[in-house]
Amino acid sequence: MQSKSILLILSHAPYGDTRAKEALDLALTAAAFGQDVSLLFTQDALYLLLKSQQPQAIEQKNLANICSALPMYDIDKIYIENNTSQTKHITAEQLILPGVFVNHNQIALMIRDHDVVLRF
Amino acid sequence: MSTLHTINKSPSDNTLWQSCLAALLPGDALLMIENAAYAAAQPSVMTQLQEYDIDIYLLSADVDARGLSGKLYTNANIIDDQQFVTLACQHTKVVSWF
Amino acid sequence: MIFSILIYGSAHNSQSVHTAYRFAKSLLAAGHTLHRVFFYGESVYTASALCAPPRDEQDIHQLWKSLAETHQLDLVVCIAAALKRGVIDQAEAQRHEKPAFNTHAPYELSGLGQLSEAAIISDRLVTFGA
Repeated sequence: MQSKSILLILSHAPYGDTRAKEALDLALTAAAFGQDVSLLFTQDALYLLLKSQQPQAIEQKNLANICSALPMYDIDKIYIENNTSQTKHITAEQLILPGVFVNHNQIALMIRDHDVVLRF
Repeated sequence: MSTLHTINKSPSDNTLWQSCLAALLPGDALLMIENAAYAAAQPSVMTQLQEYDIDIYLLSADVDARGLSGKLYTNANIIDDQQFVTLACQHTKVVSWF
Repeated sequence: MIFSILIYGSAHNSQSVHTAYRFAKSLLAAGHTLHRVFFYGESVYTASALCAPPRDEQDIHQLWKSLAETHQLDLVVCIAAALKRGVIDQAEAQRHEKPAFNTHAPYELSGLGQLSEAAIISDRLVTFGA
């Protein structure tokens, strides 16, 4: 089967609703299907990457664990919206996964250059 | 290589709108569907959109449903569902902001 | 041109399933191919045959069903998203030992791989979001 480059833009925080979880499920499946998947964390989705999440008490799966496993599923193109990390006072050291920090112009070009762009 | 962006929330969802606007490149098109049709009735939003080198579209069904046809401040193109399909063909991909 | 549609908006709490329906009808009328419609997230409730809206409101389950039957469309409902929300077909009801089922053809429960495949096959994948 042919391969397409897929950019998945995440914009929602974990746990409050299912959007982030369903987007990650989609990313893992697309990668398993041999697609060239890039993940861009924007807005509240940056909170997905925070270390030391402990969602057991709210009866949810730890989404940070899924994120830290992304490279094992051949998803190693991880991008982080620079503006968001600054606004939220989140530094690279606080994240469970290393990523490339990108600004708005770079994001616009990423959207242009991928075959398929899905934003959740 | 151009993108048709669709957005479906009114400009009250400022975060969504700012993200969408930041992603627009010259030659792209922006189609305001569902509650995003309200944007065309807000002069400040439409003035901001003029700074971008893009075509702006509204769906007539959404405009009419919301009673906006007499309130549009814009030179946005009002199109029907068939033309939405045509736009999707003319641009190399469709990105949805919701 | 080959299209696929991804619907992510709520079946009963957003306009997106209706907007997607109008888009599907229009692209078919223009002679394009609709390879697949994929229901994900809250849109999976569209597949429930037990929805009984008031007579003066549209029955979105029926609208998609009729369109699919007329054009032999592939309506795929994300199985994980559906099962956890109680949208279940006969085979899954038996497997999970549930007392009833509420969806059937042309709606088909299947995995997210069907969406990936649609993204590869199609010239355009158009999302209708929440």
